[in-house]
Amino acid sequence: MIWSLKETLPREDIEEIQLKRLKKQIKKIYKKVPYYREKFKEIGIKPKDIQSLADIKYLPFTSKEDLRLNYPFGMFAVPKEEIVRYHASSGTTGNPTVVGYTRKDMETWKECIARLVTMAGVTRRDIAHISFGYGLFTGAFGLHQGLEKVGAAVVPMSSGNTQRQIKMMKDFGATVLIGTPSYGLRLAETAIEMGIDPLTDLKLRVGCFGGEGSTEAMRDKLHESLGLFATENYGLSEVVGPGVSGECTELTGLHINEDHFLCEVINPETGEVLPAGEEGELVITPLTKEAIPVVRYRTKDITSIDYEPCSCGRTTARMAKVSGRTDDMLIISGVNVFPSQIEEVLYNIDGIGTNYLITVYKENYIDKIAIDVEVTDNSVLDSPDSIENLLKKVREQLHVTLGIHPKINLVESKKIKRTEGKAQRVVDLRNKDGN
Amino acid sequence: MAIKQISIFVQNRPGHLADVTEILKENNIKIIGLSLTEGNDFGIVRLIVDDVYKTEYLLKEDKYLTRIDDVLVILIDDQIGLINSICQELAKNNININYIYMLLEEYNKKLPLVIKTSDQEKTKEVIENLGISVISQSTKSRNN
Ligand SMILES: [Zn+2]
Repeated sequence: MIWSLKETLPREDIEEIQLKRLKKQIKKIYKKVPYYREKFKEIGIKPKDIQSLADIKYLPFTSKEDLRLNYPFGMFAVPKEEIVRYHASSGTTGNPTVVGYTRKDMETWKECIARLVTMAGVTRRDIAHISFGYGLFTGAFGLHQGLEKVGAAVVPMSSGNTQRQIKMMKDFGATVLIGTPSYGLRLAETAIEMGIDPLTDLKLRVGCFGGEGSTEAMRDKLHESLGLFATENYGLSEVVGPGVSGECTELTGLHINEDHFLCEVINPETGEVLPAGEEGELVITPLTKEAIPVVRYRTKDITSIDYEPCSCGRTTARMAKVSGRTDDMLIISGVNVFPSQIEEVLYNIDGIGTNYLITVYKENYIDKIAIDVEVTDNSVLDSPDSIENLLKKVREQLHVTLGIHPKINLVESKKIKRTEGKAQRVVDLRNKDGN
Repeated sequence: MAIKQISIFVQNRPGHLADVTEILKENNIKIIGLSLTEGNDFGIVRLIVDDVYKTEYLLKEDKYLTRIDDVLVILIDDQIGLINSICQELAKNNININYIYMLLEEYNKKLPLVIKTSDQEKTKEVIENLGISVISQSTKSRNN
């Protein structure tokens, strides 16, 4: 089923809507957001210079850093009383990025999610179990509202307590699972440990996964272990949260809600817009966002866009699954973390040296992180207990500060790998061996 | 005569202890005593060698985490029940034994035993009271 006629318009019509909305949006931003007005003036551009979609290339980019620098409300375009919801993204060092939603933004968000879950196969007869954490992150609330709009019954389970999640899925007869793909696999494993066979004891049929990238191998594994049809959706809080794009049942890429998001793919080094189909960094300009309308937001996610109509009947452009990042941000089971943040935590623990190596890998399709750390305080050689205590301290600090559960290997300093004399800080093995 | 022990941090993986012993062999350093305490993923190697400072220098050059301590070495006869008497006596005095290991060669026809307890001073006293000789001054280790 297709939720909205907007998803099946001829390309010219889609572009006409986009251009109309872009012009209006840029005019409004120029008027309402001093930050952008200054930026536009600096490069000598006026809203009226935007006469075609291609003219967007004259507009400045926006980065996460820009949002941080304008923390908390510097980029907002509406008075605070217009805001009905706030969300924020992780900000363990410095400020988080805060986003707001007006009443109309909330409606747009619901609409976008309704389209995505519908294209994944969810209907009003479904019972949707949400295993994203409810809180400042956009994942849980975003999916929640859209699923309700579709008419599905929502079970707002939130994250944690895996055994209880399985019991609830079984007792409520959940048919749709919402969460990160790695947590989906964790649920499958735990169910088996509990003596529950997901294939016969659970009724799951569709999975709408997000919050982190996934691979075809993971999709197969989710299908085999949970018996569901696994789809992926994409989004980020800076432009809306989940709701930018999602997979239809043809699995031909992620259909973009183009009437709300104008997407470009650029060369991350030069900033130049790339032709359709070429791989580069995804840049998103929300076309209808009221509260915090960013311009050309650099996602740092690498993908490509296909504008051909899909066999599912939709004509909206499809982006390929995100294949990587332009920066060194790591996404560990849905948690975003930069190596520099890990470094900062390590540097503040006495008895630990300045050399470290982060290894990200998959174990049973679940993201794992291991950190090789050098010990520098020789008083721990006193007893194995002293070393265990140090290990515990490192683990706790990383968990409390960054929300990750790394395996810490205390190693001899010289065993920490270095490439050409320069320390190599991160090894990502996740996309090796078909994972 | 103070007996110095060097402790070295190693990972509990094949070849890691061998890396250390290789350095000693290359530099003609004789191992007189050796013990390996195991943690989950790591080990602490404790060595008595014929040149402890050279060993420390070489290992530090290779960025190993090391530490030198004065240890108590007691000389016992090869006799049934003797170790029991020592342990019983220490227990009576509420002294906890952290580790014990043998040296690899006899000393005056007696077996040298390295012992580290919760109270080295008192241990020395207790053991000497048993009529057992202690060949080291149990000075406070320099890291304490
Ligand atoms: Zn499609």
